[in-house]
Amino acid sequence: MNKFSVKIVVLTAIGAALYGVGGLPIFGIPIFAETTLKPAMAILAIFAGLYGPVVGFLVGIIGHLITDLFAGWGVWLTWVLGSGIVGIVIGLLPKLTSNRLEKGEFPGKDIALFILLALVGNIGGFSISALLDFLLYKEPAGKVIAQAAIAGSTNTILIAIIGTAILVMIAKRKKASTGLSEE
Amino acid sequence: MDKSKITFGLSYIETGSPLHRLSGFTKLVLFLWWITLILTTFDLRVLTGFFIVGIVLLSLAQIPFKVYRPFVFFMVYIVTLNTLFIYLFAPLQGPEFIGSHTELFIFTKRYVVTLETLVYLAVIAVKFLAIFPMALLFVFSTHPTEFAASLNKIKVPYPIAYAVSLTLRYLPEITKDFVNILHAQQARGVDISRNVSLRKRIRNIASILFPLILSSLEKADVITNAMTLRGFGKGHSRTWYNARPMAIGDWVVLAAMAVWTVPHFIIRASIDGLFWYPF
Repeated sequence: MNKFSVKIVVLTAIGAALYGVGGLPIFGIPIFAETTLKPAMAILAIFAGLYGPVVGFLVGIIGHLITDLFAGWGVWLTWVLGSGIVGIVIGLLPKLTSNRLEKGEFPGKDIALFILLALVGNIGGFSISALLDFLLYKEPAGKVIAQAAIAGSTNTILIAIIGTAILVMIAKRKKASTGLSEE
Repeated sequence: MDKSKITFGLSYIETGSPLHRLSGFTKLVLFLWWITLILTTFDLRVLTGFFIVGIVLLSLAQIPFKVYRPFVFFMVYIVTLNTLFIYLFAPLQGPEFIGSHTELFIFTKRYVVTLETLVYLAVIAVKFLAIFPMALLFVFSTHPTEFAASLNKIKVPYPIAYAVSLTLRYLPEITKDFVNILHAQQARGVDISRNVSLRKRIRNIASILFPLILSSLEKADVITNAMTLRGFGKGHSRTWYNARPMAIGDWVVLAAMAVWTVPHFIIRASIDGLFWYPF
């Protein structure tokens, strides 16, 4: 059982709920016919970046599925999987930076790595979504590739801006609460 | 402010219909079975059948139509748009898959409408539309905690099932926090509407999300402590207060699914290629 500690269960749930809130229509910034910019993905990136691949994957899958179901815009399973993969890839951040963020440090090279992981995760995740749309719905390859490219690039930009900004603030806060020394 | 922009559209609604009396396990299996069968067929007859049965089942749940009318319109809009895009990207995808070419009329040299195109586009549209009523039905008729219990029953590890249940439990709570923070920040002049430039808008969104995330993380600590104190995760399995025992109705539904599965795949195998095309 101890594969899933209580902490992971709770962080997943809170992250998924926040992902849902981040997908509310009030945030929607329309940028292209079928695509709106929503900060849900940035929240996924923040949770994955802070707590690793397991939380990242679960927040992506559960958050996306629950949001789709309860917001009433149908179930797009292939895209749910894409979000999960984005979560796994960005979740590599703590391991690759030996948990520096947890100690309140988020230097430039870690930020670059964070954005790079977001890019790789989005390309990987949404290529798989596009492939599944192509296989399961027989949608034309050109259309699904264009869709994945638009979703992937806007998500990456969004994560790079909002995700980074909030992680920097969180790092600053963590630093403030760990920098105490005994007198 | 437009209330529909800050709330979740759907939730469990108790009507006491026969579908509400089914166990959550049956409805979850039905939902998964439904999606799997729809995703594995490209037969317009079968898909239309699923769509109609889906609507009949949804109406059996006795949910007033006005509750979900906006979502139906939204779904129709999305599917129409999606179909249009498919056509714009690949006007001859249909004939290519089906292997014949029956021209109906011609817009331009590239945009030709063939009978095969219409069948192909209809298949994709109905695929999306056929899943929709079942998703609505599932949300309307399954109590959130029963949903978690049924996830566990189909062998999803119980910590994950419990995470789903907690998500549903905290979704309204965090939405409420979000609205409070939104109002507080708006009172201080933070605007996330289209009246400000995109740059500013994104920065303002971050300044609303940051306190929301921090307060949620504090909440996560409190919940973690509470659950640890109550010994969550110490056992290999858990029981669920809201799990509903299987009744005759459940077995009838499960049997109906099993009965249809066989002809479904026979029909699937009996047509040449993927798409059913009679002409």
